[in-house]
Amino acid sequence: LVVDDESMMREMLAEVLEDEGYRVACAANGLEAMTYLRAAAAQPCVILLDLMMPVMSGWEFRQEQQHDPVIASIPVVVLSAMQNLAQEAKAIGVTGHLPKPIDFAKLLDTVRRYCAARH
Amino acid sequence: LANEVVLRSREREQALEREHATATENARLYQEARDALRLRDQFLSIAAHELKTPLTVLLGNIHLLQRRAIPHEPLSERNLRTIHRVGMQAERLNMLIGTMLDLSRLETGQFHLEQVRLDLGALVQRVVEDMRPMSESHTIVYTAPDRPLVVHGDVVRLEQVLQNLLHNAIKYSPLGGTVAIDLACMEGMVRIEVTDQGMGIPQDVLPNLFTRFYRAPNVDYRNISGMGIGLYIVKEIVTRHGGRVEIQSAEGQGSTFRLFLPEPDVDDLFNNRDARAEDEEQQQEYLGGR
Repeated sequence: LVVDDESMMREMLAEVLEDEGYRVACAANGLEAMTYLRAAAAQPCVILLDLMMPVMSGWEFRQEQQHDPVIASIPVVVLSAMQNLAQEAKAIGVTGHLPKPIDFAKLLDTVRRYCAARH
Repeated sequence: LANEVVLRSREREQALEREHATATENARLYQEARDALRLRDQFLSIAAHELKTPLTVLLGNIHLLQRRAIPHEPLSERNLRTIHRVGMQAERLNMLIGTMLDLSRLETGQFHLEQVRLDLGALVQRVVEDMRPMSESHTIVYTAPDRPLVVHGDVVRLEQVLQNLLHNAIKYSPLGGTVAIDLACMEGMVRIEVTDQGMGIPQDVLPNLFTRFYRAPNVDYRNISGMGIGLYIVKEIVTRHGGRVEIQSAEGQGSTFRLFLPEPDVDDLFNNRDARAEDEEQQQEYLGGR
């Protein structure tokens, strides 16, 4: 699940992953992501999360996610251009972080760790 | 006499008032200057952050084009070159934005190192191998002792230092030639030496070379672009590792940059083993870096 408010960023990330054989869902902010996750029949193997987003930010999304036992254990990797990303990622207890601009080899390595089986 | 005393007292009072007014004005100007600097740094930081989003999309699409071109319908040589040029320039923009952000971090005290135990030899070798394809007219020669050279350092930042010195060596040797990088151990320090056969630097300006925004006077004549920030950041990174930077050069005779980084002593390695293991685990866990 790719969560980013920039539509071109979502499309690009989805295409990069789809080209590798993954099935990708997208959400434009934390709230859309929560709605998707609560309705989805199968949970995604990883959530790629932007932090600065309108409606519901990445920080708010993490709070909601951690309070919902059904989705709390889905690994989250933060993708952001923020300064001090390492500290931010640690503070919200996510599994990993990748700075923007993204190193695509690292992105694919990361996704491979959580989504070993291709859909 | 009484009149004179009153007169002098009044004069002194007026002088004190003037001094007070000047001091107040100076304090106000000082505060304004500080606010302006803070705003500049904030602006730099926000601008760099905002620039990264379109850059990410741009780089992502270049990645897609390159990945898709190879297995299915190979693109023509001309189109491949076009994509390559777009990619190289986008990477260049990325480096420039990174440099601006580093400058802002240094100014605002937010420049932090994430240090782990690492083999400097392996790191240098990797950087050299990554750079070889970018410099067809230069020969990069790498020499090092046949054993690990352990330092306690920030992998990403030391990589940045090495890339900067090698880029400079190539950039300021426009006619090509050999760029030599040599590693050695001496007196508890690991020394990295980068030597080029380029245009060199006039000796009288060598002390200014690590100053922010400074560029050597013989550079402008040859129209080689740059911001004069790279070596300033190199020095900051090396100093924050407890090391130092030296330079030896003369105009027209090439340059040698020497970095010295402290080798952790055996007791230190032993005492910090747990902390280090924790650092390394954390690095593994938190993929990426900055």
